[in-house]
Amino acid sequence: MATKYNIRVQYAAWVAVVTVGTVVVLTGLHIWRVIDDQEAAVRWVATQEAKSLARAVAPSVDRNDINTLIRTAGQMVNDEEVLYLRVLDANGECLFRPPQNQNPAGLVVVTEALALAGKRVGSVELGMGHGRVGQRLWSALMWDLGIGVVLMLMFVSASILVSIPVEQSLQNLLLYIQSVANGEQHDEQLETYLAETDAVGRELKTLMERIDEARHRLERAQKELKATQKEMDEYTFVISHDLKEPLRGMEAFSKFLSDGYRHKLDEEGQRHIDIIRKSVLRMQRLISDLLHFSQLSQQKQPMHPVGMNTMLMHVRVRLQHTLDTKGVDLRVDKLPTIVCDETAMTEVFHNLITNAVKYNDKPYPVVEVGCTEKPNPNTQQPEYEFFVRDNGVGIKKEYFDKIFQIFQRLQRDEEGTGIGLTIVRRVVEWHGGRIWLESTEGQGTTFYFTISKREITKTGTVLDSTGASEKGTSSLATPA
Amino acid sequence: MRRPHDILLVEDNPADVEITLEAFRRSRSGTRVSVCRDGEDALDYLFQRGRYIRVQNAPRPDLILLDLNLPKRSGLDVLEQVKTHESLREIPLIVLTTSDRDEDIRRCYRNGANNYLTKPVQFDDCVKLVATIQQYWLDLSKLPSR
Repeated sequence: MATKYNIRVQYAAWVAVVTVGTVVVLTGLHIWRVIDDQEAAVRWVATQEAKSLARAVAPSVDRNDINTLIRTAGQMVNDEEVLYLRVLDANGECLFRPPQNQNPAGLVVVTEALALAGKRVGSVELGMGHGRVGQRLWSALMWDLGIGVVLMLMFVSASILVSIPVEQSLQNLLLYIQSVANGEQHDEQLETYLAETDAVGRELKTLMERIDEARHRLERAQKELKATQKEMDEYTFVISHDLKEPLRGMEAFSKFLSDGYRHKLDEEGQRHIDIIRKSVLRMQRLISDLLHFSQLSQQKQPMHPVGMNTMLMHVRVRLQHTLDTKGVDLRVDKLPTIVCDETAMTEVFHNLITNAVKYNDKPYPVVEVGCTEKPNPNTQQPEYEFFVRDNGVGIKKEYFDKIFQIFQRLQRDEEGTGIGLTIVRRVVEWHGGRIWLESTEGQGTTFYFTISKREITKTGTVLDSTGASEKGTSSLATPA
Repeated sequence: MRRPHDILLVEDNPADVEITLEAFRRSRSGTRVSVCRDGEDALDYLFQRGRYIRVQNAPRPDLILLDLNLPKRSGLDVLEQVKTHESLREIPLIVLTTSDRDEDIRRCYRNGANNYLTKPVQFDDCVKLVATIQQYWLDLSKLPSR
């Protein structure tokens, strides 16, 4: 594919090849014609010379006057190319032949009869050389080549002249396409020297308009989605508050009942009051978790680089009591610095580790946190794959998807509401990552999630020991 | 002995009213709590008009506890009226509501609220909160004399 050279070079090269080919063929033809013509021309000249000689020498042959014959012939024949000459009488006897006569083979030989008053008196044989043919051939070749070179120059320069506007049009088209690709110059028409590129430009404009329309539609849909999302979050928030209102009454008055009238109730009545109290407490937890969830979604913090080891240290401090009580060995590998919403990401680790500890029946619970860098299977962009591994009770495969749903729990317990993993998934997803798990019942569970690896330049302030820093210089935030 | 304090509680939810009254009773401070069930009523009380035309029906409170979510006139409306009034603005006003929206909190403080508290769900926490209010705002703080 000869696509590496620009159009001007390619065009000129083709014209040169075609012109040179044509010139070679034409020169060949010309030379061949010249050779053919030369044969005939020499014969014609020889015939003319023979005729005039025949007229001049006929009387002296008739009179058998050899001396006059020799003198006349000597005067007549002064052409260098006449290399062979014989004058014969009527009987074919040779009357005259110059001493410098050459071998007639290889010469153009013509025979002319000598006639005087209608009577044949003898004949003349005259042979001519090809001496001039070489000369003529050379000059013919020179002419042809000259014409060829001139033609080639003309064609090549013409082709260059022709290709200039083509190239310029293509250049304009290229600029136009680039501007379209950058989403600029929406209403400007393409200006080129060629109708073809104009047509391409028109098609491009139509295409661009369609893309524009599609983009607008997408933007609108996104905006609507965002509005709906916001509405949903607000709705959750309002509902949580409105639900709290009657709950406060239930809590207080069931308490008044329990505190002030317990002695007036029998055992069954007391049990019922206790159930009411427990239900109220559970409802409270559900609502405050729902509230927490909606707040987390609503109050997204700006993302900045955060050292994960520092974060995990804070999570460890927050969970210290639980870890000590259950005797959990929390092992944290060396972790990278990632760009994230710090509060939300803390929540992710807090929830995953809390779950790992809570659903653990082993005498020596172990929770490992680690990270590997891998390319994204779809985009091949580098990303971090974090894992939180435990040696706990494990999860059945059929519940793998279910556990991420809101208020889904696999075990009945007093404190859990089943919102922790929903929050985890939500946070991971709004960071552009994926979350999944592997688990063997009775042996433990590993939660994996990915966070894209953002470019963190070294120009900003160094945030932690890994040498990572905030991109640019603005809004620097050190991990708390 | 000091005279007992007067508080105006602006709250529409009867359960919440009862809970707050009970919590004040348990604080054993002798604080008298007047209750208005909506924003309009609260403004009538404070401006001593309508059914509160006679002063003894509506003693000027030492402290106002104001809910935001009220029928007729909203809590914010009441807040604005009080805090732009020549003399009523002297009365400390505590917003006591369910909302912990940043937007509400900011708006209240911007309009001159002296404090912003959210109602606890647990009754025991309500008792603690009321005791704290009593202690800080009424017993410890110096309030303008009537």
